[in-house]
Amino acid sequence: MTPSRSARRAIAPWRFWLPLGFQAVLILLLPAQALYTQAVGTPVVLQTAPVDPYDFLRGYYVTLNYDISIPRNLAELPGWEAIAPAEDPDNPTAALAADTPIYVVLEPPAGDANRPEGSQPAPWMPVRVSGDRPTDLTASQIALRGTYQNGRILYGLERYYIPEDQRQEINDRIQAAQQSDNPEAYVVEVKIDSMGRSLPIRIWVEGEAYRF
Amino acid sequence: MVSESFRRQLRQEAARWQQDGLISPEQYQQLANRYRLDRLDTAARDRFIAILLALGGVLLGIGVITFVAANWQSIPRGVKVILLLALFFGINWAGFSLWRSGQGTDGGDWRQRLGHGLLILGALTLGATLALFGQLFHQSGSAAGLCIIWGLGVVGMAYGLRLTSLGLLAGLLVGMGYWLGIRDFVFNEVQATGMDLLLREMPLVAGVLFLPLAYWCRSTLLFGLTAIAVFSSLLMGFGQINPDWVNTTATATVLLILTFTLPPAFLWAYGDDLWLGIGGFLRRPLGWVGDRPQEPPANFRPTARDFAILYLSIGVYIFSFHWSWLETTVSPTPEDASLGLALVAPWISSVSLPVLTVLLIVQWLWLAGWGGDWAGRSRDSQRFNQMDATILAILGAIAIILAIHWSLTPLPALGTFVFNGLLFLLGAGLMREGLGDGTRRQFWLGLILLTLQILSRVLEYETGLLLKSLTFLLCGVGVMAIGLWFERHVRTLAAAPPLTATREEDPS
Repeated sequence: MTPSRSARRAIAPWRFWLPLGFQAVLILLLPAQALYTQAVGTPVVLQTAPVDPYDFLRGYYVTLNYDISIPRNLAELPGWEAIAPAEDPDNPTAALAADTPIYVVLEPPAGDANRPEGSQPAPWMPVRVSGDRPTDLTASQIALRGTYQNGRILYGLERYYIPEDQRQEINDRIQAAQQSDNPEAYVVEVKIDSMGRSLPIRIWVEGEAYRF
Repeated sequence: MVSESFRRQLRQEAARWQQDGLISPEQYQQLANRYRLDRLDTAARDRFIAILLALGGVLLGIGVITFVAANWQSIPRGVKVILLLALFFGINWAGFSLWRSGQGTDGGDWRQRLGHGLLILGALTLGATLALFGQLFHQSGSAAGLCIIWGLGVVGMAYGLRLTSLGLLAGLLVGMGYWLGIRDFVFNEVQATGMDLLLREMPLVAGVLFLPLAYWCRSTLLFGLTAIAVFSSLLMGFGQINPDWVNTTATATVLLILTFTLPPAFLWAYGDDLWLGIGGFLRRPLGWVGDRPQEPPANFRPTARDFAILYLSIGVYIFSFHWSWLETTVSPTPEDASLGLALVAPWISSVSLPVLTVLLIVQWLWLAGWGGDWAGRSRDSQRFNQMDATILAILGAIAIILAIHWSLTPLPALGTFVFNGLLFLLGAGLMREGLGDGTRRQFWLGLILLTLQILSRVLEYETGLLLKSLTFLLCGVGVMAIGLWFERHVRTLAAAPPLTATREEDPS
């Protein structure tokens, strides 16, 4: 593999350190932003549907689908007309191009402040949508950034990686929660920073929190 | 550098020459020194150890990656991060130190080989670390983007240390990322930002990333990987075009013709001296010549030409079937066809296609002798010859026939006939060249082509048996006539003085 020559000069150390530094930057690029969102972001709870696909690099995960992932649910909110002028009420995304940014303004549920510590939170409610980052939010509101892709709105919150040894238990509980009459039995707690970037923190299933 | 099999044969023969008294023991020793015959056995053993150590590195790396994927909760997050980062830096540093300290010795010693194995393990640990952070922060992007970022990291190290093995690993990672990304694209899955741009421009990205590396490492294997990456991703874009549109839009016709002619034309005209000249030109401001200027630069043209011939053969073989000329029976309305083209527009409107087309023209002009001796064109470099003219004529014939068939009037009979003629010409030409140069590969490819052609035609036509029999009779007579003419031609050549200097001095 390596060519051999006896009259070969020793290789300069920078030729190792430079690429290694580049690799380190690649490694740290992702957590740097995620850590920022996790540190300063506002905790928000979203109403969520699950399977457990497998990614050969990162293992098993729960696929998360939110109420606000479905364009039909957002099309009734104020501000949608400005993003996608609807010619056909049955097809609210007809005018949307791929990668169109959509900001969803969320409001905490009533009585959230009085919730006992450690109990399952109720999901936040979407109140309006906007194509640009909203700057006129009230103190309790927060804007979540998503992009439109293939009939769905993606927030980067679509996967929650779970340990292999607990995946059966988690899946059974999620299934039970979804079959129950209470849709709020299965929610996801996320953090959102001021730019609207988000990160899943934990999932709540029937009153129990899972954080990995 | 002579091949190892030649050195082994030489050792055997030289020992016999010495036994028979043809050469003296001193002469044998001189030969042994010149071709390093004494190192043949140790070299084989060393290489085996190197392969085992590299394989061990790969297996350990997969172990680390699978450990991350298991997402085991007994170790807290923080400890996991520190553990993996320490592993990443530790393994890379240990690998580099060992590899470097063993480097000065002749052929490298165990430290270099172990270091090399650790560097491969380090490259895989990079992937595990990236995956761990993606997992800890629950990143939704598919594995495709992760593989490409990982490949970029590894390619950096391959450039730094000039390691072919890391270059190949990086090529595989980027390739894996590309095909996973294409799958996500087809199945409408979540894409990372900028991923579609990367997928679209992959021909250029792969070329820019890996072609200089192939020259830097002087690795034919890397060059082959680069060629496959560039042209398979280019074809991925063309593959989205529906052949049914060709009757209605000129763009689709041009693109489909390019599908069959651009890759072989590009690879046939591929000129190392041109690329090395461009490389030197770009490097000049940096004042950097590399650390082995005394060694001859790589020569990838033969490999490029092998690829070109293979591609051309497959294309011509497909069109030698009569059905491939009858396919375009459905003619959509021009509106439908334009709509279809608009759908694939993001793929075909990439920058890669025009850039490759311009480079194609530049390479043929260079081959034809334009540009003089810019950038020190090597004096003995091959100039435009009969072979180049033949290939150019074949490519031209393909382009013209396909253009007429797809845009003016269908040519089912003539097209089938011409492409069968081209296939025969290619097969026979390859066999002739292979025999002339003593290159076995060419000869066998030619023989396979001819056999395939005859078998396919026998099985393809089941009716008109009288006509079929007549065709084969005529073809048989024709081939024999060509053989006899050729024999006479060779004899006239041999008789015509002066063919070569040695022939002239021949006393008989």
